[in-house]
Amino acid sequence: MTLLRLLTPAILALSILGLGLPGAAQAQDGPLRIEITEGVIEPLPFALPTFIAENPEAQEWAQRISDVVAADLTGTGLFRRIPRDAFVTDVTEFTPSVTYANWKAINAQALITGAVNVSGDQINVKFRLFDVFSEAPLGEGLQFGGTSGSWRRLAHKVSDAVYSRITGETGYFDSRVVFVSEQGPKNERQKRLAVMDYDGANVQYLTDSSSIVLAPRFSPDGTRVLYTSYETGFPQIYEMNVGTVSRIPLQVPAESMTFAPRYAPDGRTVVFSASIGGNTDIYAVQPGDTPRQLTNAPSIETAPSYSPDGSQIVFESDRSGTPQLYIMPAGGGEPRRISNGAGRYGTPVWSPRGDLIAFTKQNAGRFHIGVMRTDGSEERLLTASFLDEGPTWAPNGRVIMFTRESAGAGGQPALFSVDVSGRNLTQVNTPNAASDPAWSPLLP
Amino acid sequence: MTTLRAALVLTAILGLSACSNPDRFGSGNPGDGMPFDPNAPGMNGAGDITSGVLDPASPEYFRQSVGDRVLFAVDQSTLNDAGRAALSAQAQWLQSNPGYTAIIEGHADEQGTREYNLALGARRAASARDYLVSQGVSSSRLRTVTYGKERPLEVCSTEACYAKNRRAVTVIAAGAALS
Amino acid sequence: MQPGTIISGVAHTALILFALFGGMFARDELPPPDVAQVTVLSEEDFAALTRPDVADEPTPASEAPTAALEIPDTPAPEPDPQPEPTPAPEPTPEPEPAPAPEPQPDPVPQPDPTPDPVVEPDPEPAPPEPVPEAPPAPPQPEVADDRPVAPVDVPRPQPRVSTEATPPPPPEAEEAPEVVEAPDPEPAEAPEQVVEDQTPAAPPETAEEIVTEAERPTQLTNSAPTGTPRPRGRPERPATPPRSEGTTSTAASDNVNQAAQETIAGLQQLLEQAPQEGIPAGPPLTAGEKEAFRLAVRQCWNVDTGSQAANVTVSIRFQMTREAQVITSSIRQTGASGGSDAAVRAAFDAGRRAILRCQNQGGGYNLPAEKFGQWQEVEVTFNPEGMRLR
Repeated sequence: MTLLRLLTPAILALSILGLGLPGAAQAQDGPLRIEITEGVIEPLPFALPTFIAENPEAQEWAQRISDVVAADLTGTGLFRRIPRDAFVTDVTEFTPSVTYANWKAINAQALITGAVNVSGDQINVKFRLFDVFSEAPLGEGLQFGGTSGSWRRLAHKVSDAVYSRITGETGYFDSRVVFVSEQGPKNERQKRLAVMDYDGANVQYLTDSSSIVLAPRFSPDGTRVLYTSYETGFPQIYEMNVGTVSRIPLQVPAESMTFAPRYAPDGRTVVFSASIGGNTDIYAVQPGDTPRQLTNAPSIETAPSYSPDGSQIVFESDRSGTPQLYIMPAGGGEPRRISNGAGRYGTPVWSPRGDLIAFTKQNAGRFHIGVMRTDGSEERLLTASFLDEGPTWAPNGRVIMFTRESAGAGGQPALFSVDVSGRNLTQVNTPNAASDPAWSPLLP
Repeated sequence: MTTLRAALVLTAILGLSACSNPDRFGSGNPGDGMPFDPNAPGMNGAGDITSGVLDPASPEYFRQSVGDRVLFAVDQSTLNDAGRAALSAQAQWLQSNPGYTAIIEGHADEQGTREYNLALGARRAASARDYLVSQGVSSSRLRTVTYGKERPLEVCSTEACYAKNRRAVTVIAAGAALS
Repeated sequence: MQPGTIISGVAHTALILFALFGGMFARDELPPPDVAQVTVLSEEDFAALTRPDVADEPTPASEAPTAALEIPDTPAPEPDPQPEPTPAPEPTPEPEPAPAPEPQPDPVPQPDPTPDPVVEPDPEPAPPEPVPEAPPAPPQPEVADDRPVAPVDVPRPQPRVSTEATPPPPPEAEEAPEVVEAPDPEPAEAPEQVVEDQTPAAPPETAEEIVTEAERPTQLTNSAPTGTPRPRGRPERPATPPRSEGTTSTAASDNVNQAAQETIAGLQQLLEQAPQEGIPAGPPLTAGEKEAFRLAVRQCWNVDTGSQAANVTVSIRFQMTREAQVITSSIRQTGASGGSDAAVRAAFDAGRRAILRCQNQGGGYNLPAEKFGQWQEVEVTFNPEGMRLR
């Protein structure tokens, strides 16, 4: 201390330099500069001690919630949970400070601590996230509360917060997926509409299997679903309220078969394709209005999808002879082709971020899910199999879920997800065979 | 009156069995060589309720003897010679049996996206329908539907099966002209 | 009649009847989606929860967030699978196996041989013995002494199983050793790759936690005489003031805040060194020395190629002690381009982690001590361009 005081003048001088032009005092002109252009790609190891139960009733919930949070994070492929038996110490108290050294020692880069308390049917979860090597908390602690029936959502909320703080992007764990649950032989499939949590939990059925149902799509607010049903014997689009399971047919052109619906970002306008007299074109309709035809060509125009700003529509057309992807103004107009590679392209879906378009590609006897920029450049294929199709984006535009069907008489569809980087291909668990997933927005 | 009643029953049963009837999409499942399988109650629609199995005026006859389907090449909806011949025969039958209407189903093989195949099936059905109309069948008696790849006839994943799945099937229905 | 026939007959009849009538009422009403109540809890509230004694916290500001997100609890919060009130006696819709309950063992074998990134067999070394509480360490004035004591350069757990084997001593390693005159310079054969217990390393880490600002001067005076020999096992000394102070911050941009808060401490530390007999600038680092340093940081830079942050090029500047240890509080962002604020923040965090993690877990980087002036301050530019998805 004394010494420090003695050196005060020097300190002052240096602190000015240190703040202003660091390094100037040294022999060198500036800092040592290095540039790194290549890093590693690996899951970030995190420690997640089982959340603390603040009362005895919370014991079981604390365990379950901790497990779901860990599963959410590791499921992304971006994080890796460090097994508990590797811990130097466990966490027994939910405190704002932690002994970083204990977590550095096991090379945990992030530490997630939490606590759960239960009163009656109410569960409260709070958590903190720490950057171990920086020895600092990452963001504020958060608390979520809900009923015991929504405990998974509470866990997903925690995961979303953690994910968001580390990756800088919004999460996608507290979301749902609507899909078609399938049973029965290939030539006699029974199809039902169902919804589930993004991870396959909490499956609930929206229709029975008396008619074929296809390709459901969530509304931007997640409360409604558009889908195609054969309940009249002909394909026709319906809109269902997910809460009440009531449904109404979409206003469509006369004498048409309609399918491939999708909401505009406004949640009101619906774009879809209608086959009239064997020719399929794209239409848009607003509630209470008559449908407006957006394309008018003898070729097939289908699978429309809006850009996130609602100004454009990407769709599939075989006007060139094979199915390719095109973009046109949302009100219709001259389309421009964006797909240029070999093969056939279909089911384009605009990413919620707006920067990419996911699609199905068929080439040389294989199917792929791929992404490209909206001008068609930088095409990347993320998957390859006998039959992959129908991509849907996670609400943050980071993950794509799709249908993968196996070949042969016993072939069955299943849902898979893949990171937009092409890594972390994973099957989504569903009770039965499943197809046509569509991701909801992040739940409120 | 009997016809009407039979038609009602037929319709009811067809509707009922729509989801469990493997024959609904014309596979001729109980042995393609057999004109009719009496052991499959309700499976073949009017077969065991109306008059004769081989009544030339029956939908069953149409299906088995006239031929209810035409096949298409990959990604095509244009008719080949065999297809046109089959449709000509269908047109003749329809004209001699004006009490029936027909729904033409368009199908695709599994190679292709769901949406595109729906559109393709619609094209194929329309192609068959147009030909029937050109042969004198009133368009008011015909309706089309596409199933895309939802109802394959054959379930293997080879061209042998695909070739049979790329089809338009004329399904005879009783009753007056469709509105 | 065969029993089978009878059963079959009955079953079929039931099925038909069911199909006829059962379906009419079968409508799986779906319960409204669960709604969670979300409350943002500020640090203060948190603190209050955990240590209620801190009553004098500047709570006012935090008042708002607490009340903030009360998620509408509108629809029946009853998340019961089938809470439909009316048609309770609805038999399971169709003759279909009970839907939801089917747990179906998810053994689904990954049908695709796609890259399964996480294959590493859990490299966690699981330190056998927990860090001995070593509070006495910090106060100890003669830091120099306990350095030798600790088996200083014991191989520490290799931070990462990096994709490329980048041993700190790269090809040009010969250059590095020659400038190192430290008594215990084992830079070359540093068995960095060996993964095993780092028990010895733990004590210093523990110590560092407890080191307080007040103690530092003493230590520094001590190290001054020793000159530049750079004892490597020395506990990292990030000027981390008691964390509790930092935690009270309510700013969203914690990182920045924290850095700011600690900058003063960091500067002090830096300055404390400066006065000591000048700074040996030495000749510029050789290309080999620079490259070795670059590779060392690089192997800890984890890039999330699918993220927006992967579009961000960020420059990070920091200071090091004579022992080539990063002064945590000095780390700051000096430039960034190519992304949203959140993406930049994530990119900065990743860079900072790389800088901190790869300093041999507290042992400092391998840099020639006599050129301290050359690397006392470093600016690393993390440019993920080469890793962008193509």
